[in-house]
Amino acid sequence: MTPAALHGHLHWLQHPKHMVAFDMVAKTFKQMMPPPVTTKFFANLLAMDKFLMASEFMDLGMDLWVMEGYGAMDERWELQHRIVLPWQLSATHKRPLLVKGGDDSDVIMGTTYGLGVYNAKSKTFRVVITVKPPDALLLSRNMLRESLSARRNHVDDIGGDLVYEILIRLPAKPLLRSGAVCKAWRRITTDPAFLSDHSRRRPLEAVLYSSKINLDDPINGRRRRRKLGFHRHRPPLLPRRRYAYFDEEDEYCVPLASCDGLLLLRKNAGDYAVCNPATRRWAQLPPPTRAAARDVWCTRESVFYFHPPSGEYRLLCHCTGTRRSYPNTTASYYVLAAGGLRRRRLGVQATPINSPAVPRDMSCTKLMAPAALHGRLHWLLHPESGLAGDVVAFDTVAETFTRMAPPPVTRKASADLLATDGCLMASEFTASSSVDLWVLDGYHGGGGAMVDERWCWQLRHRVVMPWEATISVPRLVAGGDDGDVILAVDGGGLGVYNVRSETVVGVEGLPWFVHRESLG
Amino acid sequence: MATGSGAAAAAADAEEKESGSRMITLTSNEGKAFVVTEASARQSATIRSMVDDGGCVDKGFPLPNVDSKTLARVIQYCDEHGNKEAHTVDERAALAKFDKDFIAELDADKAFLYDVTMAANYLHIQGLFALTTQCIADTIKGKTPEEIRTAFGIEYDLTAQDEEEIKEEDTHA
Repeated sequence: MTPAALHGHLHWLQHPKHMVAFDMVAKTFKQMMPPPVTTKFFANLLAMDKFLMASEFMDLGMDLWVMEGYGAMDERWELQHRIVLPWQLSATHKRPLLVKGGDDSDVIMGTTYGLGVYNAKSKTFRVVITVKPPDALLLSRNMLRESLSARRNHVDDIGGDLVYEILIRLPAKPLLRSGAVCKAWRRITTDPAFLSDHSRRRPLEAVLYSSKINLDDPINGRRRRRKLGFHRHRPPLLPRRRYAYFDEEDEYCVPLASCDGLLLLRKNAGDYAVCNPATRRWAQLPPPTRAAARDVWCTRESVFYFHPPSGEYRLLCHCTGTRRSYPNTTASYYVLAAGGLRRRRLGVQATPINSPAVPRDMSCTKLMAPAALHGRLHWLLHPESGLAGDVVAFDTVAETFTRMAPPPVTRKASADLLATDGCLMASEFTASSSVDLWVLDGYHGGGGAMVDERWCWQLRHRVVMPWEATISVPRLVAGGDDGDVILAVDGGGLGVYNVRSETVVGVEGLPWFVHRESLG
Repeated sequence: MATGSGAAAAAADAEEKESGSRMITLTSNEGKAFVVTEASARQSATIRSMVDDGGCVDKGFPLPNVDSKTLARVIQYCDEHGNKEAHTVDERAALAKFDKDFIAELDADKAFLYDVTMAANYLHIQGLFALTTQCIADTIKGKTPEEIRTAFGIEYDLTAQDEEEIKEEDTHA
């Protein structure tokens, strides 16, 4: 459960009969009177307007309970709002996706069917968006990044181009129009560095990914088009939607990774596109396999990264196949550059996916989310890990792999590599609902394939998770800024552990689509 | 050695305590002198670094890129933000109100708004710069490219290829 923060305490509803509060100063837990909800799975705690509230999704809507007299002798829960939602909630689909406290008494709520805002003062409900299955609501990385802290301040980095500084403050649509003003402005608004800077400064956004028939399009009318919408998700939640369209293919289109605000999508097997949601520009990637040759039978997207010398955004693919001249299975790495016409084979050793040296429990999602540090990307499990199960580092400039000593974790499936506070770390979810954090001491990237013998893994932190649930599937561990480590568990919550202050803080809002930046 | 650095630190400390009450002279390009508190002048990162580097505080700071009218307005902002506290909710609200009124007044005179923006940029006054650039960005928001060109006096110089690209973007919009 996502904790609700109020009066210096974090609150969790662990069970309908069991609510705990964690004192952030004294670092102690205490029991509190639970709200009279029937099941915790449809219930949420949220803090709003200095009140602790509990929400519960019912058959036809949602109940909002408010705790009166918090901390006093007569603290009690009162049912103050019963909200009828415009979406029919079926028994199978009534799991709430999101309930959050916003500003000015707004309660943001979402189900699989839509997103709406209820205002507790005016007692009105406003539909922000209605989604029809099989569409889904997704959250972009900005949602996570920005909700973690309002940490991005640009103190003392002003100067330079005035126009740049003005345009960077524009929302996407006016920015797009500004690109049609003159050459100088166009140069700025199409510059990748500007666009990534712009996307970093954008407010929280929920990515809406849906497929709808677009009847407004005069040219392609009645043709099915998919759209990828970017929904501003900050109170006041105005129904302001921006869509990036692309022609529908037979297959679904999945967001695979993000890098500097660009999204990498896979439209079909081997058909990749890069989308800049701010400018709605699309760029096709060349196919990883040649159309004529059916020699490749397994393609794994390995990483989406920025290649500084060329200024290109590139996708690295690991392809296993059989070549006519060799009887055995071989593998290669191919580089696909956005806007490029042809794939390029990387002159490095590649291990076929069916080789015994390739780790069995290597997950594709983790492959696309390496830890970025010192211009290198690091994986705990990688096709090039070798029989020793080494950590693999990829130099994004030289485009070469290096093997490094693995961290002494017990189960790699529940472990992750992450970069935070200028350190390479390994995390492991242990059986006792805690997370171990190992740090690679003395690591500074190093030049080329050099491996320093003095680098060694040290167990530095043992973080006790505030969720009592048994942690079976760790969902996300990522390195944030300023020494933050982001922790999340399936069916659990999202928390941030700070390695400097050695404290855990719960974060509101459970994202169900999170992309870590490929390069920090 | 240890005592030497200790004494220097103590001296710097004393200077630090004194600095709050020091006055600093800023001179516009027309030679007009403005005397401000150090707290006010420290709103500018440019002046802050010059003060911290030591020396020239007594002689004052000539600002060859800023005219008197603009400097007076910039100082008005710096005084408000440098000399007043912003710890409580009320104090912050008062400052926010000041900013709102300040920018509303500037917004009425676009040419002057650009002058203040330029001065804020030159003097590295983060808060003021963010305020004025956001104000300019807001005026761009609702405009078509043609209207933007008129408002900012920009000449149309896009090539046929650019136009083609823009058309392409529009169909996706």
